[in-house]
Amino acid sequence: MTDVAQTRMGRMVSILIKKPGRRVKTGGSVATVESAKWVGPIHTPFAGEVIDTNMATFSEDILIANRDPYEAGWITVIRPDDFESPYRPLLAGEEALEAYIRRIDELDISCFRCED
Amino acid sequence: MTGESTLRVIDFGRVSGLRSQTLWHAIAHGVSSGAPPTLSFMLPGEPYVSIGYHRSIDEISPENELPVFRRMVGGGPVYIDDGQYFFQIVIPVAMAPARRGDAIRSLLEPAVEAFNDVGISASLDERNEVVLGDRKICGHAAGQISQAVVIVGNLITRFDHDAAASIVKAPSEVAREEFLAQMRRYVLATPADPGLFLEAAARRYGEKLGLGAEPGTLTDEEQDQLNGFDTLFVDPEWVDGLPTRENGMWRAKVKSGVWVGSATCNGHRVTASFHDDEIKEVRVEGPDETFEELDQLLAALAANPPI
Repeated sequence: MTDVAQTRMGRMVSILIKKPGRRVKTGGSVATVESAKWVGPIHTPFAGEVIDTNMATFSEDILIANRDPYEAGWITVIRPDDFESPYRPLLAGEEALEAYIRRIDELDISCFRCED
Repeated sequence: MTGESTLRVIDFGRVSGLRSQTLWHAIAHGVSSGAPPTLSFMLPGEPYVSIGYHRSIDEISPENELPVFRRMVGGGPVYIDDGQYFFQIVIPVAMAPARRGDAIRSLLEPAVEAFNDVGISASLDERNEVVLGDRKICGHAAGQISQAVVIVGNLITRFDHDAAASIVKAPSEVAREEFLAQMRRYVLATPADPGLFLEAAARRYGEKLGLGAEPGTLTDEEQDQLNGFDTLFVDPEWVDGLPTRENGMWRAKVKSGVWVGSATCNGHRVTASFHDDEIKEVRVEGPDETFEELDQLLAALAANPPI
C-alpha cells in the first residue's frame, strides 16, 4: 500500500489477505481492508500467485500500514505469472513519478501517518 | 435502462431478509459494469442479523435463532427488522471523494437533508454519525464492492432495543444490561413516512450528484448477480467467515464514540460505558468493588474501543 492509499483509507481496523498459494487476476483483489465502517479491496496490477503475506504483523499491530506502509507494513508478495509482460501497463522512473504527482493532485490528497 | 445522466431510483418495497442484503450487492456489480448510479430502497420483511465483512460470527449470541447474513461492507453485528426502512446509494468509484471518510460524509449529507425534509432535525456529527441531538437515528455502513462505492443507511421508524441488545454475545447479564441501557439512551427511532423520505432522498441525491432521478429496474446482469448472491449469502462458509483473534476484552458499540466494554481480572468482571473516551459508568461483579487492578483494567478497556 502506498502512502496515498493508506491516507485515503484512514486508520485501518481490520484486514484479510489472500493466503499463500491463492491465484490473483490482473486488477483483482489481494486483500480487503476496513476503516471506520468502510470495507474495500486492495488490487494487484498483475496476475500471479500469492507466495507470502504479512498477516502475522497486522495481527500484532493493525496500524502498521498506516505508520510504515513501504517497509514493515507490507501486505503481500506475489509471483507474477509472466515476469516481463506484467510491467507493461505500469510506468517507471520519472514517467511514473510525474503521473503519480498528477494523480495525487487530482485526488487532492495530503499524506499523513498515524503516530499512535 | 436509464442513461448516464440519470440517478436510477428503485423502490423494492417489502422484500425477504435475504433479498434486503443481496439486492444492493447485485446493484453494486451492475453499477461497476456500467449501470447508472442508483438509489435503492427496501423494507426487510422479517427480522435477521447482519454482520460486517470482517467480523467474527462469535460476536453474535449463541442463543440467537434469527438468520444471519454477512454483508460486504463494514461494521459489527446488527439486528434488523421491518421497523428499519433501508436505502442504498451506489455510485462508480470515480464519482466518490478519494478519502474514505470524505466519501462517507459526502454521501450521507443528502440523506441528512432528506431527514430534514420530512421534519426530522437530523445532522451529521463529527464522527459521520446521523444524529438527532446526541442520539443516533440512522445505522450506516460503507464500502467498495467491485468498482462501485456503496453507502447503506436506514430510516428507523421503530427500534426494538431489547432485540438489538439480545443478538450480541455479552459476557454477563450485567454487560448486556449496560449495553441495553446505552442503546436506549443513544439510539432513537424517528417515525416518518417512508414514501416521503424516498421522494426527498431521491431529490437530494440527484441534486448532490448532478443527476436527474428516474425510476428504474434491475438489469439482466444484475438479476443474474442477484441469484448468485442469494446462494452465497446462505452458504454457511460465507456466513461463518474466518476466525478472529480475541484479546480477552468484550466491546460493543452503541454509536460512534459510545460503547460498552467488559473484561475480567482476578475473579472480578468489570463492565464500563465509554463516551468520547470518558468513562461514564462502571459496574464490578466480584467480591471487592475497588479491587487493586480496577484502574489498570479500565485503562486497558479504554485503550481498546470497538471498531
